[in-house]
Amino acid sequence: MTIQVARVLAALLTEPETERYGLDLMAMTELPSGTLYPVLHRLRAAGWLAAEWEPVDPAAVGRPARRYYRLTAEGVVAARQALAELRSIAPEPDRGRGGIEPSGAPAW
Amino acid sequence: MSRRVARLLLAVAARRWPAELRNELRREWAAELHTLAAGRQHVRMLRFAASLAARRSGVEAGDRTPLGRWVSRAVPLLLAPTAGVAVVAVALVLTSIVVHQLSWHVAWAYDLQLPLLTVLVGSGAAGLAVVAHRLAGRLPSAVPTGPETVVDGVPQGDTVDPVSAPLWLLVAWTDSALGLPRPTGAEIFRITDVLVPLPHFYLAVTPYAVVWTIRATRARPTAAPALAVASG
Repeated sequence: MTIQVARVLAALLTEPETERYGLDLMAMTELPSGTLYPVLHRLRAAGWLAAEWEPVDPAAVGRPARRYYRLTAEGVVAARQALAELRSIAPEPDRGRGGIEPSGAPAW
Repeated sequence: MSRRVARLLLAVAARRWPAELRNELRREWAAELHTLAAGRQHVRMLRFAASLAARRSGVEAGDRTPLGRWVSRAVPLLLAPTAGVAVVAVALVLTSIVVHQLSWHVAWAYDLQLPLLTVLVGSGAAGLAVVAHRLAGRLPSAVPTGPETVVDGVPQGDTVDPVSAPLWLLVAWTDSALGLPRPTGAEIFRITDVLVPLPHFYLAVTPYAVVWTIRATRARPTAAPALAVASG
């Protein structure tokens, strides 16, 4: 799993029942669109993510319908497990220096 | 204006995805673009579209940045005219030296000028071709060929049969197999995904080169020499 995939999964897991659209996920993950959409596609192909079109009439609301993403039940379980595994292998933060740096951040 | 540019970029971006996904992605991106345009977020709108256009879909092999690989292919190609000029210049200098030296000894030295120049330029061009062959050989294969990957007995369609190679340039321009059985739809996706900038570079350069060559070689109409009519 790449860091980008982990960020998308972490964002989706904050409120697993909430449907998110592309710009929303870009803001949450701070990933550019060119990175986010391939990740979303891979997660959908794996069955972890479901996508649905916003149920609105574009003529009535005056804008095109958006596509919303939400983790599937299988995706929620698998994502939690994958992120837990990732955390278990990630290096522990350096408590000796007060532990204020984010994990993996350079020390300078 | 920025919205038009963003739409163009999204059209480029859509071509980087398999054909069966493009319509939905275009629709989805257009909706996000509309939101950004409505909020007058022009810079974000352009960044959204440019980022999608700059990255491959990753459907085949994860996230990759194509720019470096494209530059490594395009730069030697762009340097070719300079190398050609160098070959001609060196051939001219060598011809001049050889003919000058021979002219002290034989009467036909100057008859040798043009054949010698032609042989030297031809040899230099052949040398350039060898260099191009070696340089290009160091690059990873642009289009994946060879036997396709099979997972659990299911062919993954991740390679392209090189039998259709002569058509690839036209395929990349037209997104079609021109009615032929090869390349297949999946192969067309692989070809266009990998080769997007280079065929369009050829398309941009070729008319200029062709028109230049035709116009430069066509005899310029000159005024008919005036007949001197003797008077008286």
